[in-house]
Amino acid sequence: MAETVDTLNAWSGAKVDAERIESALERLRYEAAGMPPEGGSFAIRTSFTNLVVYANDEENGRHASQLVAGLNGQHPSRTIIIVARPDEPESRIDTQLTAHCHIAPGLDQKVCCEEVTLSVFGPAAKHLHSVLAPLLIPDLPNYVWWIGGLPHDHHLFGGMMANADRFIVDSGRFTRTALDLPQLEHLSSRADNCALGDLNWQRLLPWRQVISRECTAPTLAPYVGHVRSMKLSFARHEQDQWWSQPLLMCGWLSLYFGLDLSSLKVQEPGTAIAPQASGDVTFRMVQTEFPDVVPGDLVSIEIRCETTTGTSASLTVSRKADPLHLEIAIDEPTGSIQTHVRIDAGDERGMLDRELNSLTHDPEYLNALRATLPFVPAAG
Amino acid sequence: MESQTLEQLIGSTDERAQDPCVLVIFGASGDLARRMLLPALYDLAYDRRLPARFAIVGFARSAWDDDEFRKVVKNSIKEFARRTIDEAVWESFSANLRYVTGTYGEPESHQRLSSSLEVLDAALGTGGNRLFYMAVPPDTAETIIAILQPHPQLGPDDAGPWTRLIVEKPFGRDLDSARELNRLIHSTFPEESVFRIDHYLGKETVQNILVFRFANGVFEPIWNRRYIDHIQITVAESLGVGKRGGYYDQSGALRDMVQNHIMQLLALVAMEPPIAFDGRAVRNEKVKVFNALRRMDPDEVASSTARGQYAAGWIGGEEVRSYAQDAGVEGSSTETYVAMRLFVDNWRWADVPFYVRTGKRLPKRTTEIAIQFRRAPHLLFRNIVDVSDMEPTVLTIRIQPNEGISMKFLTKVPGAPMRIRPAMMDFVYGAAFVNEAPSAYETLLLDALQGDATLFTRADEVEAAWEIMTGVLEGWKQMPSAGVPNYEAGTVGPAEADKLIESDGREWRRL
Repeated sequence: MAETVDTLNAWSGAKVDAERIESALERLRYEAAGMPPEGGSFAIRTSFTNLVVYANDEENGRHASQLVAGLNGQHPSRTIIIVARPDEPESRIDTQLTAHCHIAPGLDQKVCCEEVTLSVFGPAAKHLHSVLAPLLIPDLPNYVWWIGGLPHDHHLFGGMMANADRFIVDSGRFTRTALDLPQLEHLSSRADNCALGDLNWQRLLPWRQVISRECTAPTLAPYVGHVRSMKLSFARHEQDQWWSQPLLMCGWLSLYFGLDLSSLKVQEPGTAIAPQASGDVTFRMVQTEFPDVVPGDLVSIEIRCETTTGTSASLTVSRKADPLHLEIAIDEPTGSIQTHVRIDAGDERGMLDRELNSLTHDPEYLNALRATLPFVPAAG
Repeated sequence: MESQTLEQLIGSTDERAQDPCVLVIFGASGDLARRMLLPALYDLAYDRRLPARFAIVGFARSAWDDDEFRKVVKNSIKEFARRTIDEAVWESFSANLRYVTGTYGEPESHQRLSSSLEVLDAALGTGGNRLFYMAVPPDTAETIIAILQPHPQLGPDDAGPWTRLIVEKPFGRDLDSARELNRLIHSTFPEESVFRIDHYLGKETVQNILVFRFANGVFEPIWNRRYIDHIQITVAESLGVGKRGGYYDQSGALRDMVQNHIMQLLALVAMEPPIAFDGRAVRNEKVKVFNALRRMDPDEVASSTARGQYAAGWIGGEEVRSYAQDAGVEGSSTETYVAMRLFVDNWRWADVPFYVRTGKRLPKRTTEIAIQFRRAPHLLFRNIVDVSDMEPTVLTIRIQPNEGISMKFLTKVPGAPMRIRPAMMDFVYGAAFVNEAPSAYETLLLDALQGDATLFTRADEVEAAWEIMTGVLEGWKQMPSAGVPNYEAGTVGPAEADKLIESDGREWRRL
């Protein structure tokens, strides 16, 4: 399925010109089909969704474009990539149109997905919903993928969210964790008509699956009600504190093990204690060096259990240098087991693919996000 | 000599009978003539659709002569016509352009016009056939129609030379004034000679509603209350009132858009199949729809309508002014947005709501009719997929822009596990037919020249539509003001409109 990319003319203007864009996209499909506009057939346009990508700079915009183009087979979309530059003094909107086309199996025509890239400068960038609204295809669901941290400008964010059926962030890349995670939880609680998605939740999926599978297996099942401590190691970043992955994982682990967080106490940066009727459960989040992973990514999770009779067991799930496998180590009184499990690559494309498969809220995620909040003060 | 050249160069390609005639445009120096009528006539000439013996006479107050008028016409063609100037076509077209300066309603001025027409009759052999186009404000049109009364050549089409009258909207301000206008017109012109123009009906996509419904056997059996949940008709504009502020403030969205364009779209969607595609049969069926529309008492007006006026805001990344600033009126309560819930009380449509909305300064320009079908009666997949993901089937007829028809339906996502999501099947006019469609005015002017009134509104249609809208206007008078402005420019309208449809458990389509 060889892909071709055709870029039509780009232009600048004081406002977005929806009708010019529609007509230019039509022409682009002619040209993509290799036909002159005076005759012949169009390339087939296909869209299952509107996908709006908010990129905070050009580099992220290009990255998003490549990533979305790679998903066109699974999620044919009208993609609108917005790069906002609100600090410029004058309003200006640069428009660029691209068609990502391929010859579909069984067809002798090209099938194209449209991409509209808008660089929005000045005051117009503070009113992005007004830029977007004319370009959305009415009958299709609208996904918004917000790249980067949450903005200070709630008006801007609210406007984007109001148009969305599913709003996708990546809390794993939040650099102001203490501010952004509570804000995200607040947004999720008030967005009745918009489901919240999080690439970070998808990133944690293999970890959640492995822990869930091992803890329901006969070896560890007897210990699951006696968790005493959990240690989550994550990759260090030189300047920023990227704590969202371990925090969200702490939230999920608390729910998974049915812990009461009402009296959770933060002892020191990275450490929190959740008193339970059966004794305290300690959470430790530790930064560590690990080559070739993105700062903030989980490196290992160690869960220690001890029963009232004093027998103990532990489960350790660790990242390996090979990104396609996790290492699982189980220690319990009858011996030790060490295995490996193959996982999905965990790349952004796969995570976005999964997020685009759903339009509805994931209650497990929302509960985990809510459970994360008491841990936020522990972020260093 | 001129007429021979005209025949050779502009000889008609239209297969219908083409009587020779003279078209008189009252208001020939105005915006409508310059932007729409004269370019449309040139485009018809270019495509050889005009009668072989044909002349245009402009009448207006501007003190021009024929040459000055030709210059104006040529410039308007350059700016607004679909076709480029072809010097040979232009030479023939302009050879029979005439202009008469005069005052509307003044006998001397109209006498000069008559003299000019007689000269053209003799030169071109038009046989006294006349088509009068009222491209003037309503008051002026009434003045002109009144003075046309003693014209000796008026008569029904089948009695010698014919005289036809094209009238632009608005056809009155309410039921009483519409009746009065019809009385005035009928005192001079029989109804068969009157062509009330609603340019929406000239649009290809509007005509295609009838073709889609009645030329395809598959849709009509499901076009009823059994299969259709509701219908939404949207006429959204991103523009404000512009230079029409003075007129608009006296009119408002209900009179400007709902009474005419939206009512016509509703009628075409809801009407029964006519027995033939002709003026009498089609218009008879439209009138039946208007007669079946449920009248509203003041309480129902309050619960079934919403109105609004735009405040300043942002559209397409551009800051725009409020209605009060645009129109230059402070404290006006004129509505720039209307939403309504209407019911057609007949066998086919009982209890199926028709939600209509129109507004200025909405996020984008779009006119569409969306037919939302009922959900499948038995949700076979409810245990496998989230039922809230199972959106209903929607058929959308896009009138403008991006003209076409699309169908949203559910489809299985390839692979396991079972996942269902909506997909869109899209027919785009511009993609399917490479020939550029004629403008609405081309279509309608040609129909009027040929005496085909199918796409024009009849007196009883106009009055029936006004009867409903006058009830709404009366209801609004008894209600407290909407508290305007109540929607920001660039948003989808006032919150009251959302409440109106949400109270029925439905929602407006995304614009």
